[in-house]
Amino acid sequence: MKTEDALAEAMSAHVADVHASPFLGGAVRRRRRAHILRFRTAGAALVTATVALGVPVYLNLIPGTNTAAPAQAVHETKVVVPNVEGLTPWQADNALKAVGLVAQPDGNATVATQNPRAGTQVDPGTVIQLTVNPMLPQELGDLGDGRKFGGIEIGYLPEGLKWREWSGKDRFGKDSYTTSFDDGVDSGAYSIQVIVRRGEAVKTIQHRRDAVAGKDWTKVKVHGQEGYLANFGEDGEPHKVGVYSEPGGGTHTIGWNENDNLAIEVMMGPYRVEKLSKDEISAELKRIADEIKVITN
Amino acid sequence: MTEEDETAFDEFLAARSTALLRTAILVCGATRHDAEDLVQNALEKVYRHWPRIRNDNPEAYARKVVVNAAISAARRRKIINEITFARPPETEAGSPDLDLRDTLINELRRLPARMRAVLVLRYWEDMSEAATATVLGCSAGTVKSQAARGLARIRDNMTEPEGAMR
Repeated sequence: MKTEDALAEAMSAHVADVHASPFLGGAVRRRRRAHILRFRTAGAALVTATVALGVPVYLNLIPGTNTAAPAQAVHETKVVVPNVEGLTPWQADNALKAVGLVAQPDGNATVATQNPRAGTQVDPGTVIQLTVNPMLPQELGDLGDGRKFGGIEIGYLPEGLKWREWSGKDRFGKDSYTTSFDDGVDSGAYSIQVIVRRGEAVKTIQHRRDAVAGKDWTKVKVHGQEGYLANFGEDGEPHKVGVYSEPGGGTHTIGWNENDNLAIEVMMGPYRVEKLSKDEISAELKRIADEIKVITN
Repeated sequence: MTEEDETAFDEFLAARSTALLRTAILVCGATRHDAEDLVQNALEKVYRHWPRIRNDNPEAYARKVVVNAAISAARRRKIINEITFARPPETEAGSPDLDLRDTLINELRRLPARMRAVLVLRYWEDMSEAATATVLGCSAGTVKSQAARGLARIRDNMTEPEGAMR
């Protein structure tokens, strides 16, 4: 037997018992939601829970304790939605798992509302939306329109973008500042995020410098300084600007050092990227960068 | 995403997800659990672009994403270090073919990820050199040479049964 034939046979035998889960579709869709709900996406968020199993049980939850009463059958093909309002997403996830529902927890938020309401009997596959009230970091206080923070002022933002009413300090190294803006349409997804690194935090940008070294196509000038504009994958590798630079998805980012003590990055969220052409993505990031004013050097 | 898009995506999963999962297991050499995670992640990307790609050979796009993700995963060695190449439970133990198969799979595992992907696509998926090249983003010539070198390495490392391989 030829090696390639023997190898083909060995490969077939090796995976013969492998079959994709029938719940794969639900899992993929949950990931799509989860993808939007990363750190940078902090804000009032939608978490999706789907009925993964038609488990005929009734669950009585005591808010905050995450304990459940013994299950009782109520209907053969329905599941009863438990009350998860007021629980943390982790507690909600556990409670939902107990009846065969799955949620994707994110951060330290609590569930504000759920739809359908607790006690509703639903068909397997029904999507349950949980509105989360995240305890967002407010480390820079009330920023008003959010455009002035970390010693800079954002002069231009695309029309319709509003401050997401949160801010972070020291989250990207000591003496770093960040906040984001969204269009209020794609709930849970940021449209633009700005990170200001000063002093010690400037060092945390070195990996970007290393990643773009020798890649002339990433080069861009901002305020006369040499910067980079690319779609950075999860592994930090730069890809060409555009929605479909798969695999890796990535975050479209423009960054530059104003001076040795100040590095600024502007990032565009995945939903906004999908709405724009490659040229528009680049132009928008470039304009935001160009019109950032440095108040404190 | 319209309701029709959603339905078409479900149909696509029903038709193709098992094949994609098997490809992922073979290319990245992961456990089934890890491969599922990888495939879910890759399919999330397919889902993200579904309205655009659904009428434009989504299978090719999905395979490309899965294979490249599997290569990256294997390269990062996050998954490959956890490989457990357990025998499929229904495979008859003690069969002489089984040892040969295990040895072949183990040899496959030892190849560089990209070379392994070439062998999986060429000989398990039965894809042409040109189609394999498209998935991997390289030339058909590279596929040809990688396949030949991969097979040669496996042949060279096989110790038994003597003379069974040509």
